Amino acid sequence: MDSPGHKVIRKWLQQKNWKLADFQKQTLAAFLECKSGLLNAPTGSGKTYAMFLPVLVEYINKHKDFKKKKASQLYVLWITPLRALTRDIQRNLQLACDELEIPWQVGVRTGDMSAKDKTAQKKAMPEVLLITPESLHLLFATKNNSEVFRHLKVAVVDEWHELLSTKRGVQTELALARLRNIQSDVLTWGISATIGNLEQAREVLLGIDFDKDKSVIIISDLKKKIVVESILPDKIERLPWAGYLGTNLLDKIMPIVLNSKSTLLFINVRSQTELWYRFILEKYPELAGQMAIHHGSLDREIRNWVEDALHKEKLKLVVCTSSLDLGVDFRPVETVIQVGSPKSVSRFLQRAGRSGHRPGETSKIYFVPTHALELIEAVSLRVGVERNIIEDRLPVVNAYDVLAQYMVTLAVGDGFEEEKLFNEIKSTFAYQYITRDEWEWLLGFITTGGATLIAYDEFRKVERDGNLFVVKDRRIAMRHRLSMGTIVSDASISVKFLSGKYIGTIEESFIARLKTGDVFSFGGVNLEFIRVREMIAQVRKSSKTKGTVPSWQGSRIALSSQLSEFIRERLDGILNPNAKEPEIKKLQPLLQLQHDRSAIPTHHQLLIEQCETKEGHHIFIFPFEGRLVHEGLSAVIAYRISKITPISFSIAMSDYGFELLSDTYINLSDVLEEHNLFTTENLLDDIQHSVNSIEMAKRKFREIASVAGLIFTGYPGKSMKTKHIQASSSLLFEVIREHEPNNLLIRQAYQESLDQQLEEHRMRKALQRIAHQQIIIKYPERPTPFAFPILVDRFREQLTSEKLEDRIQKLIKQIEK
Amino acid sequence: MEIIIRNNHLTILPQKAVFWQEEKALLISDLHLGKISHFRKEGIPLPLQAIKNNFKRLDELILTNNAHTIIFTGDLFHSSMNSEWEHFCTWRKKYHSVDMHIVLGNHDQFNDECYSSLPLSVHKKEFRFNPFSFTHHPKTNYDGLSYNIAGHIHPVIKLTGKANQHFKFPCFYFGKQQAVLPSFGYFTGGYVIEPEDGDQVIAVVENKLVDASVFFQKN
Repeated sequence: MDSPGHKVIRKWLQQKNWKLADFQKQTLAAFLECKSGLLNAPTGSGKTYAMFLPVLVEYINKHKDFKKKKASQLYVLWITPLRALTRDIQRNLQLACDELEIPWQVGVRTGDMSAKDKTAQKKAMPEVLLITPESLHLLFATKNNSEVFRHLKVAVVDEWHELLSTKRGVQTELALARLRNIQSDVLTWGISATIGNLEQAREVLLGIDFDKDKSVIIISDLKKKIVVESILPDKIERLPWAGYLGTNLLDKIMPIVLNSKSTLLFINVRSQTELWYRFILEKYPELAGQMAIHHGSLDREIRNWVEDALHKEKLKLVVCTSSLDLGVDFRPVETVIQVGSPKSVSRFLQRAGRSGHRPGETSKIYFVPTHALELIEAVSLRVGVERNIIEDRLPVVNAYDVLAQYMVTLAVGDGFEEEKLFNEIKSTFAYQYITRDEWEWLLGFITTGGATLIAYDEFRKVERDGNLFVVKDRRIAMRHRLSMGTIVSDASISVKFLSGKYIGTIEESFIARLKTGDVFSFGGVNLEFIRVREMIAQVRKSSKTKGTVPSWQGSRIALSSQLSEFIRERLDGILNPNAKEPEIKKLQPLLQLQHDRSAIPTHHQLLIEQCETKEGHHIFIFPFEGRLVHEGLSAVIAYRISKITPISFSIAMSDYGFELLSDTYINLSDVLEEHNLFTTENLLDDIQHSVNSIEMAKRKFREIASVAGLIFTGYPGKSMKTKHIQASSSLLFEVIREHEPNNLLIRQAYQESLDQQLEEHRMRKALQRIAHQQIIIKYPERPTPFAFPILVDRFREQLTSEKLEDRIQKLIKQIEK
Repeated sequence: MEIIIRNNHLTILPQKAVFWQEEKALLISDLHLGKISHFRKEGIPLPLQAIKNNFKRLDELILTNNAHTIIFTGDLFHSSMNSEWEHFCTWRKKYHSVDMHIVLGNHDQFNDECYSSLPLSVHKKEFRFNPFSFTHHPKTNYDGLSYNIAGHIHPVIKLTGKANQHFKFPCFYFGKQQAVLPSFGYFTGGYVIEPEDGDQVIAVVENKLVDASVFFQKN
């Protein structure tokens, strides 16, 4: 095959001394056959051009005069999960166009653009538009938006694996279904890193009605070599504290940083990036100016600057969170250091992939444990990397909140006909099983507020105008536009200098604790708090060197099932001074202590420890299944015990096990003799009955309520008077649960807590495994090394079968004693 | 549960109200009527049925205590005018023999005519009814002549016990010179208070009253 387009591109590639890799050739061929599909290629392999060059070839083939400027119309929609990514991609796509003398414009549409720029852009769309799912939905909320997509040739979804298992993925599905409806010939392509369920990822991308013969999955055979090296402390603490920083290893980390041109230091939590940054600067002041910080709460401009500086190799070190996770193709980083467990093999691989970008080069990643037990994880991660075990990313289904928001979005835009829209959304993977009843409920939810219309009710949102559902009230339309999206953060406050310069956002709960004059670190700078005014915290620079660090609540990531399996396996025979892995060797004193005080379980055993401290009576159970499974499992076990004897527990957990803490002793070995606490029988029932299911659902409801428009949190950086329509999600949850038990959003909250929070399917598997394990109960006098990290975990749940009043009376007695 | 202040007897009610026996008066704070309708008006679909809750509880209180007077210590109505005000007017007229007073709170923003169309005594800042002085915001300077009864704060008490168990409950707060009532309204939040030695705090635990003072008494 040698089309005119091929020739032009080949010439260009020759000039650059580039050759198309096999997967790039395959993508080109499939694209020219008008196929849609999924391209699986690692970061740094040239996946962006693999997708873009076919578009250009096709265009050149169709337009002999391709060098001539034509009336501008949108040809390629390039959806990326992060605005951060758009800048690099824009640069590279524009470069290709310019060098090939194709007079295309590559534009970006983001939430940061002014309304004026947006309107201007909509009038004369660039040929290629880079956009996030949120901004695409915002485009749907404008008038006559379907005109924009009339000539669309292809929609590309970059980093599809990142979106797939999130509500933003659902937004993307909805948008793609819409685009296919507006322009039936549009091709859909996804670019994904390696995940366990690629086949399903394609189905979700293309929708369930898509003709399979018209699509392909292309897998690049480029394999990266990855080497994992742990940075070992000189001495192991025998009682590992959970969540300490790992900064005591700084003197071992810094030589690596100083010897490398550029380093990314990945930290799991935003607040800790601040601590690390400050800590490094204190010890290595010479790095000032060559070091930066990057996390999701910082102002976009600051992040852009960091990304640019990194690109231009001006920075030696960037302390970052997952905000720099996503594969930016063209940014050279020599060294990657991971602090603390990445919790999953694929996330680890992805971060490792940020170094050694050129195909064929070896990527090296350093692992810095934040507590001793993580050394076991390091070994397990290496096993995962060697066996190339990749986790699945499961798509989100039946997210009624996203759908409710989307319906209002369309009503704000051109309006929708309900039957047409019903068929459209039913073609998505996410809503394939939605029933007519549920749909009607959602229509009611947005038009009459869920209730049958009664006299003098003033509910106003979406109105029916003939066949169309529309939003007429401009205020409601505006508020909807401001609150669209599926990422919900805690009520956040903008942080600005007195001059008005925006620095970023911090959660309100942190600001509320500050007094005037207090100093805190943010973005690596020490700031003095002055006052809060209209959702803006005003600050000035402080010369003080010490300050508190804000916390951002993000859900904690739990150990993936694959990784936890490796850990369980590795425990067999781990107490061995001659172990060949340096990590395990280092761990021997701790393991010895665990062995002496209690036991180290093999993978055929389940370890339970009971001990008493001044806090109360502890039961520690160690299934090694990850935090989420433990959260559910602990609730179920606590509930089952409390059915046998009235008791209240406080529950804490880690990735390795969980703790049930009570004020009275339970003879667990007697209980276990008569009752099978670990049965899968009645599991769902027991989950539902454990008090936690309500609490968990309530927590899930926060996000749902926000997405579905029950909570309006305002808009970062814009001060609007919204206090009068703000209510806490738990209050909303209570009111709705009491008066409208059939509310779909409440149902969704329960379902989400079951699927995501409790990982019910994983819990079931864990119980099935435990059924074949030998249970060993130990009675250590003091908490063991395994138990210690759980003991200090501050996040506690409660489960009780006692009457609240009895508990209070008991509390009173305790205090009176 | 009963509290005696300056020889007057106050019955603490688990419905989050106080009954002043000498005057047969119900003391009710922070009702925040209209909040649900207000949300609905702004396009936030809360269940309509929830509106009835406040009125049902008020009815019950008046009838079971045979109240002659009601004193609302502010934030009777949450928002700008909406249909729940009509509800309130209808409800008010049902009890024409009951005297009703309101001390305006920061949320009560209606113009005077709204209130004057009803048999309702409106007090801008303070209502003195010996030996008490009713205000919305808790007073900060005391004259010693009267005992201040206020609202506004929506007090909630946090109780912590062994095994790290803690609970939060709406509560009544009685200090030496001043009392703060819990928010009566359905669909209102709360603010955790930190009482001092010598204060009396009564928590509402699932429709029962619990004297929570032991939790912070040092001796």
